Amino acid sequence: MSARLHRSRWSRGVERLFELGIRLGGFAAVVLLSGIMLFVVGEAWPFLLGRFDAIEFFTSTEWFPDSVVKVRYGALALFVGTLSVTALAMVAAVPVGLLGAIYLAELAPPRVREPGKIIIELLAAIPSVVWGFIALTVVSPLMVSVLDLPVGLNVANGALVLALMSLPVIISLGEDALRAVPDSYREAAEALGATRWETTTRVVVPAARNGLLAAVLLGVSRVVGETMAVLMATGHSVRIPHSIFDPVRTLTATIAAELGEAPKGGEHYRALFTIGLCLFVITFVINWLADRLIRRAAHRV
Amino acid sequence: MVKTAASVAVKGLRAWYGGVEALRGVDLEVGAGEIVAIIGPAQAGKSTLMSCLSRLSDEVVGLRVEGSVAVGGEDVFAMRDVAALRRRVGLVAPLPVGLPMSVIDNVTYAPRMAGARKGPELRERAEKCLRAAALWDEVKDRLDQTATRLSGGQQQRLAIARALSHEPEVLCLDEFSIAIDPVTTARIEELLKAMRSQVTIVLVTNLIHQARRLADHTAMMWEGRVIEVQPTAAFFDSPQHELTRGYLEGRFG
Repeated sequence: MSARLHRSRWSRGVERLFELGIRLGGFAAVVLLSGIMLFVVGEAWPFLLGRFDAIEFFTSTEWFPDSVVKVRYGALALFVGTLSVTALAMVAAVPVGLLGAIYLAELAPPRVREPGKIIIELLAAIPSVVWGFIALTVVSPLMVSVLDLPVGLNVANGALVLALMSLPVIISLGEDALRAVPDSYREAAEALGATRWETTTRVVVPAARNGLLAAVLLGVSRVVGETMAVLMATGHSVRIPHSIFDPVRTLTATIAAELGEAPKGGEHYRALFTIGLCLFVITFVINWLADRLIRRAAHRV
Repeated sequence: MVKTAASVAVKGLRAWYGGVEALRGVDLEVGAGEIVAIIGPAQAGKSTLMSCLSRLSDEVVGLRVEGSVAVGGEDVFAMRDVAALRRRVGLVAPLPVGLPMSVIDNVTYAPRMAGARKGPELRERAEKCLRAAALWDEVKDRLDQTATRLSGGQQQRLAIARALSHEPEVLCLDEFSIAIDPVTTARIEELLKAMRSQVTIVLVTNLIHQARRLADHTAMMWEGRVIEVQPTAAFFDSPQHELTRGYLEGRFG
């Protein structure tokens, strides 16, 4: 503290300026983010107080927002659509992603690891509309011809594309978590006669467990919130799928597809914001879980 | 817990990390059941030498080794089964590491990898090892807790128990006491003395007095070579090498 007293007036002024800048930046971020949240809640609010019927919304599959005869807001099929695509995507992406992370962190020689990481991070930079384009023009015709389906836009197609999109997240965060395990753990296991494989499965992966879980959850939240690619890949049909080759529609795709046609301030418009609010809650819960797990991991090491 | 002690013979051992020569021809003979202490400054090659005894040197990227190490008369570098060698030659590293599993699993991991079945027999064996490492009384009620929750000193004693769990013929201790308090260190030293003749102990230490208390022979390493080995009493009373004398007299700070 005493050193501070001897500082020149000039350097104190600069320090104040920096402090102010940082404060303002942080403040702006908080204000903007809570502003977005308030906006979403605000836009959904009149619907939630008025037309919204929780039983209908969460249990009915009748989504007829534009119907002339009987307007319905049953979002169950949309929730199931998001859930089925997400679940299938994760079934594919989690094992592949974790094995990829383990390979890169533990088994790959350095001359494979470094280029591998760069390529995977490049994958993360592909815009989602490009993934959707691939789903439409490559995966869909392939499914039609190989599996003999009438249409190639369905749960499986969407899940495949989403799995590919979440892989970079899972692999690069998973790799970070594994790298964070101190080498002394590996050496201790090797000194007991453990092979590379035994060391990895019994010591390194359990030690990185929470970090790996967080990687998976962040991959999930990436998938849940994804819009463009699923809009293009899943076939856009509001119904509960009976197989992975049935078309579905997700929460995100519904907003993207219908918001343009819904008159601003109208009931339909507000119903879409309610869906947005649900998505917000889902991703918030997932991120919160991931954050808690990361914290727990940090405590333990 | 301990089967039979084995002799260790190191001949002309050289090692390079990339272009840096860490060992420049080490010769060292350790009789079966002896305690040998190795002292010397940092960068003398003590830890590299230790890692060669159970071929942990294999796992170090960029480390090249030449020369021979024999354990119980068998050439270590010619062995096919490295895991079996590592069960014969246990190692305790300087920093405490509790593996991320329960306390009891830490001590039964090596035997289980070698094919031992879970059961009362294995548990008994684990208890013996934990007692030998002066840890049993502190952990007997928390055997199923995660080992990473133990204190640093407890984890280090757990590492010693773990190294004993696979019934080694040679036990390498690389500065085992830097994370433990002097009282606990003294307890472990007593246990090591009690194990003498059942297991060969190679002890790297920065505590000159620890070498004096424990070792039958003491060796001095300097820049990748063993420059002097003598029975411990003679080593301290009449060191032959100029550098040893300087080191013992504290002329190097």
